[in-house]
Amino acid sequence: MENFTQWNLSFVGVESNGLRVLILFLAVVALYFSWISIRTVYPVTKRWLLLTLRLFVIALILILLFQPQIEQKEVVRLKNKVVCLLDNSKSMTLKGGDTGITRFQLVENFFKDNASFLRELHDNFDVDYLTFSDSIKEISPYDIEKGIALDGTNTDIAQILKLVKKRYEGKSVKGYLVFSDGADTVELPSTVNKPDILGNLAKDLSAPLFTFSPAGNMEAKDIAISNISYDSFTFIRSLWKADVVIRIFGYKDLKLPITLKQGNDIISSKVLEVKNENELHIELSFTPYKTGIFLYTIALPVQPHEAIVENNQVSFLVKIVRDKIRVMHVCGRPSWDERFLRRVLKSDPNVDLISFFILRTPTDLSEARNEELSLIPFPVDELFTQALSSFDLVIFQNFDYRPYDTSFFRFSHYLNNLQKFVIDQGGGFLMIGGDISFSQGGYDGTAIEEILPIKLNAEKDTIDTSRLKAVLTDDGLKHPITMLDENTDRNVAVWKDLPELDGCNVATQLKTTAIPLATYPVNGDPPLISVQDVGLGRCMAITTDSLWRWGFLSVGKGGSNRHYIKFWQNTIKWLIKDPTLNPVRLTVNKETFLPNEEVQIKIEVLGRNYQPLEGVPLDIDITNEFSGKSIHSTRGVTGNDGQYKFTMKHDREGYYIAKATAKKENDEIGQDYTVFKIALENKEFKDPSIRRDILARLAEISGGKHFDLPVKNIEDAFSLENPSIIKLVGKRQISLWDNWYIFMMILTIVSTEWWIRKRSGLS
Amino acid sequence: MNTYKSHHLIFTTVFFVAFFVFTNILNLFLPSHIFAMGEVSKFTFAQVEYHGGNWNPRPNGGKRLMWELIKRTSVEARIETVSLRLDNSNLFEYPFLYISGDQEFPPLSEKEISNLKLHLEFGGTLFIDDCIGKNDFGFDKSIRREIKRLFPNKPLEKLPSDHTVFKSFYLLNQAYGRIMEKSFLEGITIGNRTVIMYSQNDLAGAWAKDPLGNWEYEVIPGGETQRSMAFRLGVNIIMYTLTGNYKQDQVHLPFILRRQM
Repeated sequence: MENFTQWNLSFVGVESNGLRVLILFLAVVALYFSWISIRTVYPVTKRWLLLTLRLFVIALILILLFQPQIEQKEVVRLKNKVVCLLDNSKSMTLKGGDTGITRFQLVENFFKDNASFLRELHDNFDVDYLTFSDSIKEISPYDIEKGIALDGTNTDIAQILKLVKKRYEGKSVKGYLVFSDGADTVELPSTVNKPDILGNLAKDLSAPLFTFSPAGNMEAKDIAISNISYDSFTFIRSLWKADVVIRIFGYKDLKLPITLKQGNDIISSKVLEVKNENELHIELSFTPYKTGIFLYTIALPVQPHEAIVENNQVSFLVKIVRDKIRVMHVCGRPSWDERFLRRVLKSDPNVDLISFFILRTPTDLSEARNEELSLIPFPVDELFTQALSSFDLVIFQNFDYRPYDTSFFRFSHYLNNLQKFVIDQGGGFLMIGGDISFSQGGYDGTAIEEILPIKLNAEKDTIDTSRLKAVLTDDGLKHPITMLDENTDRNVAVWKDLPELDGCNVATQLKTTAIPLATYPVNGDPPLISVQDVGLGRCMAITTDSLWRWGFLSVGKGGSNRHYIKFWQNTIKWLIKDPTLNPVRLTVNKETFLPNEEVQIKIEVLGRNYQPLEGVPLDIDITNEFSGKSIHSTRGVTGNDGQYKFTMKHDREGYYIAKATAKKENDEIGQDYTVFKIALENKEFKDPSIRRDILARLAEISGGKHFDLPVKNIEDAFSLENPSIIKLVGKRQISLWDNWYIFMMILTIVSTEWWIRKRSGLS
Repeated sequence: MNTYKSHHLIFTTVFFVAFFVFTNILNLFLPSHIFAMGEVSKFTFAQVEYHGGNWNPRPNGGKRLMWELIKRTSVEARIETVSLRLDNSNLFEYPFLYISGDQEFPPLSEKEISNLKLHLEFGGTLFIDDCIGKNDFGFDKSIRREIKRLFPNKPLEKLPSDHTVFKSFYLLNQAYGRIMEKSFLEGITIGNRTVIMYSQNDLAGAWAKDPLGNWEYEVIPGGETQRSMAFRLGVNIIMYTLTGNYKQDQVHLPFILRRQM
């Protein structure tokens, strides 16, 4: 930039040139007539003196008319601009193939190798340096030497071109030097042509783009999980699928194991045969058996010289919810107990009921050909193998399995499946009594006995047919199954009012892990209703086939069947682990947070009556899902709304489990947990390929040129237009006519002439 | 009595005595758990008594049906039937009620009507058997009057031939009985459950057998085949009462449709 001054004379009184000529002509005419009038004056010196004075007067009058002024201008000579755009996204940290150097090192080398060109560029142009990913930031050339933070998590070239255009609008930019791998991470709809959009934006810059990208040998060697299509929520016991896209760069002839993990447990895996493919599509699936939010991870092993290890693993949260409650009801013989239970189940719109009733045993004589009967084969194999896991709850009601334990269908094998269904898959199992149930149904010593809350002993177990009322136990007073009224006292009264039952399977031995909810008041008070948690699932035993009386006979006594219905609703909810029965509920305001973003956590505690419980101490711990390391521990007490809320922040990316345990007087009321994620969205490593095609197109459309790095002697490869630009920085105007001495001069001359004329006797 | 009939009578008597002795001896050796939990938990054929008319024209019909029910199906039932009035406090011990007659009878009391209505609405089933099968005459006239009192806004309707009662155990196409007055059953359905079923074919007349094992009534016009079908319908009615629309469940339909073709 160079400063200097310019001078200009201008006449502002008469702007029209024609008028100026006319005035000058009149002035000459006036001078001529003056001469005519004084040419006879003697002596000659006086004559010339007068003429001179008149000449001066006319000149001064002309000055007054023309109003001359001098304009003094301060101007600078400017340099044209050149803008260097340097991609600082994370993909520029990738090492190329076997070269061992990163993409950005190539850019740094360019500046070293072409120092003379850059010096010349600085001499002739005003050079701006900007880094970019999805925004731009001005830097100095020294920053390149010092090292630039390559931390951009999203490359948006369209956005950058728009920002650059806005920044240099009206400025004389004669070229853009763009150093990038062209890895634009913005996903546009398939109907939109990204190269066209970028080309139009490049054209709008009105200056050539000279693009520099790493050469072909800089392609990264990488195996990436580039995309996963999955449902972020699914239904329990339904097959969940994920379509995984794997991109392979620089590897071939591999055997690639891929795994799907829940937490740290592998739940599905496959081995992929990679030949020469660049892209593989595979499907992973699993069947969830528990409701809640869970963290799943799809992972590929790291290969030798792999540039990006971060994209070999992708974690995501899946919410598993319940659709309809699928119930399998197997009944050994039609009875009133079956009939009224089926009526309750069928009337519940949330229950999808599949029933199998044994209407005829092998010893029954139907006196008809099979074609005349509506009986269907009992599809034991289908039910207890493939279809079993699709159910939430299995009910065996007065069902003796032994007639089906044939050489063809080994029902004892299916009982093992049922045990696994409860223990491993979190299913619910309920056995209802009767003359062919429990020991009388041959279940002692089977896999079913292992999950039942009562021990079976075919030698000792009997049936008592006394008509008596069920007696609620202390545990039954508090349990959600037997809470038929929210008020404890009223609940006790309800139980006392329930009609008598018609007997019970007497099994006196309750397992130590079981909870008796009601007993039958005969010798030894055998358990009538008992429950226990078994593995992931739950199991319940009702040792009578006459609960129907609680509904139908209550109506006959002038009451209602609502307590009978409530009992079954409670039972089903408990057996399927319905979340609404959990007295502790922990929720987080969303699933994904940015580092240091506020995480709002709410814990609600409900009492036995499912009303908010105040003053409950809470232990809260937030741990990393994978390492198990605690990042935040606190204690709280619920308020009068039964809630405790708090917030926390954390700066490290990862998946975290928030867990709350509610205790009162050393008794655990319950606990709940949820999973949330802290993460920056990083799309940079999804597709690490170098997009020379995009950069070359930008260069071509804008009138520039594309170069593969490394480049030396760049000055020989292109030149930039450099017209001069002058810019006015200040100006001053000096008037030459509107001052007192001009008037004084005119006055003096006119007075002098008047005096001379007087002395000479002239008129 | 001809010789054939006399031999038949002797044979039947000997058979029943032998069967009685055999079953009692067998019971002594079998473990106790083969008995149903409580007698009253078994299916019980409960017959409704009422004032006037003839509430029990076929006293052996129900018993015989229960015998056949036990023999043919897995249902545990009491052989002996029970009779009670609709205002009896034990009415709700018996979810299945049978009412029959061959004559007009005076209106039931308000208490009887309200009890029966409650019974049916909360899970009970009533099977009506007209033993003479004459429209708007005798028992039919009276029972239709009482049904109107029970459900004034729900008239009796013909049950379609694809109603579950025709496929709850046996596959049947129509209604049967001692007489073939109507080839259909009528009924009242609340929700998806038929709470009243009405036959005018004297079903119990076809079922009834005297203590010596003789059929009490001739079955016309179809003879023994028709009697067999009447038993099948009786079994189906009990099965429908106990299992509701179980046979209408999706899992059964392909099998049933294939057999009905």
